[in-house]
Amino acid sequence: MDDTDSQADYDSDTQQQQPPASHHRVGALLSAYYQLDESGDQQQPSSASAGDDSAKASSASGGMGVRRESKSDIDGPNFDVHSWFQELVTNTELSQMLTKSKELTEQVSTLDGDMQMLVYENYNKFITATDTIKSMKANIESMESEMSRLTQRINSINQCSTRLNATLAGRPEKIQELVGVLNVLQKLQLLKNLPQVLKRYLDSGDFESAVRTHRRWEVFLGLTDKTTAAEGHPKKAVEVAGAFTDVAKEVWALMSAARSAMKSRLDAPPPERERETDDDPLGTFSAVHLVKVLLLAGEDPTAMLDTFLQGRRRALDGRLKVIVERAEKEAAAQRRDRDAEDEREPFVDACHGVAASWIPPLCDIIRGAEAAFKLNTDIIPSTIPDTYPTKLDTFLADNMASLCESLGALMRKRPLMPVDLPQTVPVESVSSSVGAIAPKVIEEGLRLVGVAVQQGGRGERGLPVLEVARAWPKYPMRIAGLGIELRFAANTELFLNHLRQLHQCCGPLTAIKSPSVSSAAAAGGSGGEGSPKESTPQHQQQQQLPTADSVLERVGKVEHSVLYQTTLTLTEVAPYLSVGELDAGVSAPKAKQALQEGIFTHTATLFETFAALCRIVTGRETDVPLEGFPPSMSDELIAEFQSIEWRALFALALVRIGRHLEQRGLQRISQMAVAQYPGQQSTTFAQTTVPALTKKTRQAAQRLLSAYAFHTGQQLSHLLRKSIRTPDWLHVREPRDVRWVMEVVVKEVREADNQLARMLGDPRKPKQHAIRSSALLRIRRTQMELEMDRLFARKVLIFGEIPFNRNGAVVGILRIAFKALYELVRDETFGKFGLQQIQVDCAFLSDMIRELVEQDDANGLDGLLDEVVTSASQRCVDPVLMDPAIVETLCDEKRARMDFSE
Amino acid sequence: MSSARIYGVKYAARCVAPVLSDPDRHRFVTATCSLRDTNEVHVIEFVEDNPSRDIVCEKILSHPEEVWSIIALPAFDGGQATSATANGTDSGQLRLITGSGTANAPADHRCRLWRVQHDELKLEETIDQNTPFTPVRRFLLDPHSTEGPSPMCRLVVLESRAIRVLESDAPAGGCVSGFRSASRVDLEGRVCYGGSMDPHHPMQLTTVDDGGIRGWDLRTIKTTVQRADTHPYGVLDVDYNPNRPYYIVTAGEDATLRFWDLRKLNACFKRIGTVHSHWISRVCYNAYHDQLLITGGTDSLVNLWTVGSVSSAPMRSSSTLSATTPVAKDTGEEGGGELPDGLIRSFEDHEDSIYGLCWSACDAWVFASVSYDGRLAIHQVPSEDKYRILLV
Repeated sequence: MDDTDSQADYDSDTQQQQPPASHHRVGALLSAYYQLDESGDQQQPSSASAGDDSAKASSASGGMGVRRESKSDIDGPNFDVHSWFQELVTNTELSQMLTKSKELTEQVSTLDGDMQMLVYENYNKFITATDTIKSMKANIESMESEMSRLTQRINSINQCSTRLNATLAGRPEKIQELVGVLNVLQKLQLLKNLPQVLKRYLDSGDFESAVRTHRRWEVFLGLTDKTTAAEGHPKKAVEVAGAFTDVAKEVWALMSAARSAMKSRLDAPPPERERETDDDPLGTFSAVHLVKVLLLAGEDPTAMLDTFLQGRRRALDGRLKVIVERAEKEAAAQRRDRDAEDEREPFVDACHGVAASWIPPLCDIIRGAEAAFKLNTDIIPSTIPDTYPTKLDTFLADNMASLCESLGALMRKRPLMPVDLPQTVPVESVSSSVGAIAPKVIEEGLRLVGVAVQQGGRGERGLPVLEVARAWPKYPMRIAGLGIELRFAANTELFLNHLRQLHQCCGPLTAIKSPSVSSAAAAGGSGGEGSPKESTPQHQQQQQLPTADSVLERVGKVEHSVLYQTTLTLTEVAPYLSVGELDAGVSAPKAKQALQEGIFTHTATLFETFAALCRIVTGRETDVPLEGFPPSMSDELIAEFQSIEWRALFALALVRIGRHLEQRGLQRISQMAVAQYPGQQSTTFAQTTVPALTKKTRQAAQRLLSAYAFHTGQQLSHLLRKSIRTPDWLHVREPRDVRWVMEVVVKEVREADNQLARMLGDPRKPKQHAIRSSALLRIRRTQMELEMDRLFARKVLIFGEIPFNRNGAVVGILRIAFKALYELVRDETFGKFGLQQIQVDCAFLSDMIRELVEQDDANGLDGLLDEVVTSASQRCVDPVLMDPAIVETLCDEKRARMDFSE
Repeated sequence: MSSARIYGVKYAARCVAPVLSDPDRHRFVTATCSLRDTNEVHVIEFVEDNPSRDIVCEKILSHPEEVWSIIALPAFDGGQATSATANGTDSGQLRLITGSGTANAPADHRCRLWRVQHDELKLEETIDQNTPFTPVRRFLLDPHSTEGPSPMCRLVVLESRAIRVLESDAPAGGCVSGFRSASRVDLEGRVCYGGSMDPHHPMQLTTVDDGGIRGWDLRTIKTTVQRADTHPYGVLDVDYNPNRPYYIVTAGEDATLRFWDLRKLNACFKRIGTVHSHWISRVCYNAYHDQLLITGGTDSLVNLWTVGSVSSAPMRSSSTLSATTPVAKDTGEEGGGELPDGLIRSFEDHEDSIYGLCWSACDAWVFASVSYDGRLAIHQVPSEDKYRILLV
């Protein structure tokens, strides 16, 4: 192409030097070649297809033919300038001609420019072509010698090849053998490198690859010396063995290290990992994987099973702990925030939650064990330990037992109901279901495990609790014990809630007004008659008091509820006995016996808790270590009841409940227990435990009643204190009436008496009015008698325990009040009329109390009142007593004015 | 040995006090408070080694008015020697201050300083006639005032409605001869029942009134700490632990003892009770062994308590306990050398309410109580308990 191009350039170059006559043709040719004109598009295909030859031909011979076509086309090849000019001159006007001329001149100058440029370009090309041709010429000259040299060399290669063939032709076996040796050597190299390879695998934690590699090489390593020895190359064998003993040792060391590493990982999975991602089943899966790898590595399956199960056990335990803790926190939080009306128990939900999130991993483990030991193609079925099913059973049972215990602990940790339990919500709805639910959660859990086991290839269907219990030995006793415990705990909780509600029901107003109100009233009334203004709040408050009736009604409910619920509980726990009998660890009678013992202990605990609570509410012995409290009583519970406000009605309500339990309830429970669970246990319960409980309850109730008397009496004392402190006893006027505060005291005592009568069901016997005046007629009693009464009164235990009846309690209250009165009197100094006022007051009190207490007790109380008067006389500068007749008149008048309509 | 020695006075009595000027003998003074009769001040001595006549009535001195409170002042320098040589026959250096509670008695007679001369009470001074006393309930001697380079007597007089600080002149011839009122604060309607001077910090006082417990700084006569509901239904007495600063005990109408730390009065740290069956009117720490307490109540009981757990003793004893236990064994009591907290002994020698109670100034094991019926009893700590405390 280059050649032809340069040839054409050459041609055009030569043509250019021709005279201008052929100018147009040359221009056209050049234009056509370089496609300069507008019509280049049409011309190009022809030139491309026809090539240079056709172009040459057309340029050489086509001149005539084209001229005919158009002589007037100025750009055409056949343009005849003369004819065109002739035509132009003849046909065109001057102005047009001038224009045309101008036009033509411009075109000519343009064309000249084009031409010039073309010439320069072509000249350059020409120069280049010339240079190229020159260098080609020189190169081709040297090529010939090169070629001859090449031929020479190929020939010599040919000769060499032939010679080589000839040389190698005789030794193919040798070569093959050598290649074999090479292979062996390569293998040996690998063997030599085996420790590094293994190490690399192990370092990257890829135990499986390591074990598989080792397994491939193990045979070789292990058998090397034997085979070679058999083949009769002892020397070589020794050499090989000698050479690779180190390697074998190293590999062995590596592998055993790897194995122990795997085992330890399996045995004790990093607790942090388990903790952080307790939702991640990776733990179990990787453990199963490890077991598989270890089995592959030839570990003893029995030992592996043990290790696997132990490790999983630990992991599960850790996980359980975490879950339970979290559930507990959440449940406690929910419980705080929840709506009072919301009957759902967050702790029960928490139990469900724990079971739901803990049992799947357990199932995973069982499936994993199946996968590792039974479905693993790498191990021979015969190596599956015979003990496999047993061990899995034990594992399941142990774990379920842990779950049961955790759930039990969770339920036990349930915080107590808040004290401000709304009165409107029935207590039963809040707490009765709790105890029954926890065992259900466990049953549900067992069912889930049963399903899992079934999925794992054992068993035919999901198992109900009895089936599960039968399937797993040693487990039933625990679930039965736990079920019983929780059921009783719920019962106790219910009872406690009843008591809390009762406490609320008894307040916030107590039977005796708060000291501030009483003292205000006392201060106002100490001068004589109370003004109506001051008595109004008193009156209002009495109306606001929770009536003994409403409290009684509630007490009745509580009494009924505790007996009913306890009976119900005793009945409901009966099925657990049959669960317990399934336990393979103990014989059926023993299981029954143990469970029954549990039942009776729990029953006793309920009533012991009540007695303990009474003791706490009594409050006066909190400094004594709280011995003899049932272990079920949490510190929170103790603290709660220690801090509750003293409410007289509540105390009385407790006393009443206590007495009811003592007199009837415990007996009924005992009969019920004997009927439900005949046998040695219940007999012991009825004959030993119940009497002890009765005694405890009675003591607690009695102490509480004493505490009631103590508090009420002390409140009265405060009333009296103000009444003694305030007046100027040296300068009071002659008494004309019993002081108003005495009326308040009497009213308070009557109020307390009413409460006692209602709450204890111990109505006051109507008394003959005739007897009352005997106390006033002191004159009939000898000085000696009075002295004896006073001596006796002084020695009486004022804060001591009181008889367990209405009379006893009232006497207790009055004793405290009167004792305070005489202590107070001793601090004062009286004038004559002051003493007489005291005398009148005491006579009035002595008169009024006769309606409230028994005759004998009234005499004892009179002794105290005598002591008041005597003490006042001692402290009197002018001890002249009033005429008893006047005193009596004053008292009668006062009495007649008093309004006891309540 | 441990049964009480009984001594009777003619009329009702409310007060008993150890004779501070004679630290070698168990001497006490007590006085009657009869409103209409001539009252008596009895100076008695208890002789341990003489079983036949163990309470010696040293003197009976007539006193014009009733006596609600009494204190036998300590002697200074030479005074003590005089007293020792006098040996019971002459009490020339004995100075008493008596207080009266009678509302109708002349107000300027309520607090008087007496000199015991032969068998008479010589009036030394009627203290502070300018500001009338309200009934006087208790005299407290400031233990810090009698020591130091210029010893004197600073007395706190607990009146029903006020607290007054008296300071003596410089003692002449071993005795104080007069007092002046240093400061006084009115209780604004509250009734004071008892109080105690802080043995660890000078000029600190704690009182109890019907508003609860109250700490005072006597330099400013300002309340330092207070707490209202110390005991339900009222508090009647208070005493400082002699060995543990800031520890106090209070007794109240709920028949319990409560132990407090004055620095954190928000809760009492110990409570014992249920032995007295009425108010506890007096509580006194033993000045040497702070595990020993005595209480007297309106139930006519005198109780001796041990409260090792809140005393300074546990800190001392715990390390040496194991070594000394075998020695303590011979008491025949249950093993351990340390006494469990609680009642040691209840003395039922009285038949009326007890208002006066005090330890002897002579040693740590004798104390006296007086009941309203005029019976004075002198008790001793049972010897087995004494040895257990000593040998720990």
